[in-house]
Amino acid sequence: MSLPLRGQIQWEDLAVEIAAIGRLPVERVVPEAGLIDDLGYDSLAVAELIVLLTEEYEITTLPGDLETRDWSKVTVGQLREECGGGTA
Amino acid sequence: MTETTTPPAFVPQPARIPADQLVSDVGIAERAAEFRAAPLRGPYATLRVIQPEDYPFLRTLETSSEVATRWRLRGTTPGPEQWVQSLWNGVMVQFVVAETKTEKPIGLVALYAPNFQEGHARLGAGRFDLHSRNPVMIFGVAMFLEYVFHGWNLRKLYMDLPEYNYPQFSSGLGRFFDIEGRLREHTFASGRYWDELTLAIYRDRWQSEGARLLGTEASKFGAAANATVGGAA
Repeated sequence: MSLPLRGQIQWEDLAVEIAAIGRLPVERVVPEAGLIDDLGYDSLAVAELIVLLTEEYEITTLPGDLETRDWSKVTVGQLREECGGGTA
Repeated sequence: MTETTTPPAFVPQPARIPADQLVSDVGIAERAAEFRAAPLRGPYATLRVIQPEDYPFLRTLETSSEVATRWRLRGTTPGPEQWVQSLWNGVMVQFVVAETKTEKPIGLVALYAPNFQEGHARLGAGRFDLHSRNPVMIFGVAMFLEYVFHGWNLRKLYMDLPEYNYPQFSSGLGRFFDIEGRLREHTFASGRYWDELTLAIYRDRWQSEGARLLGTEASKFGAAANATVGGAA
């Protein structure tokens, strides 16, 4: 895993982080996968991911609509775009 | 005949601390500067005390929705006075969790049945929207755990719940909590028996692993400096 870059995360790093929090094989973390329905994330895992992306990678735009966002519709690909990540 | 001996009389020893230090205030100012209050208000979640004005809303919620069968009342509908008593029965500290931005109440957290001799207590936490996967409630619970471990010398907290409530935060197993008890087919609900689980949250693990959930809540946004009981209320 490469060193975190401020304000963005590379695709491969994002996939590894999502897999680690969800205790999943990284192969399952594909752009079209939904965090909750496909990867089995619960609200604790979502909270961990937000803290990680905000604190470690300094992605400050992500929590903007935290209260109103429907996390059941969020896919890995959407997160990648919001986090300024590279291509898959 | 056995000869008995009288134990030597206890002779108090003089204090070994020099007398000039016993009455001095050396170091007190430095130690006092280390005092900090645990935050009750973060960028997403706020913990505020329950006011009597909250009672109608809370009672309606606890007795008339899906919450009624999943929470402590398990579908029963106690009268108003009895309900208030049950809300505070054995409770040491209890807060409404609210969204900081909207002040909308989203859940309850409580510490009850403390045992300071053994260093444990029981934790209750429930969100009002049972189907939500919004992480704001998690930030509220994390702030509450910090508040508890910061304020009382408890070494572990137990959380009792029927297994049908477990999937809401099962990802924390082994990282934030362990399952230390399981009563088989203990609880009857939704037409069948369910196991009752006892989760344990340890102080040391919380401080090494769980407290990072507070990163956004407390450290980065300086929530501690703005902490007030009652928060946004």
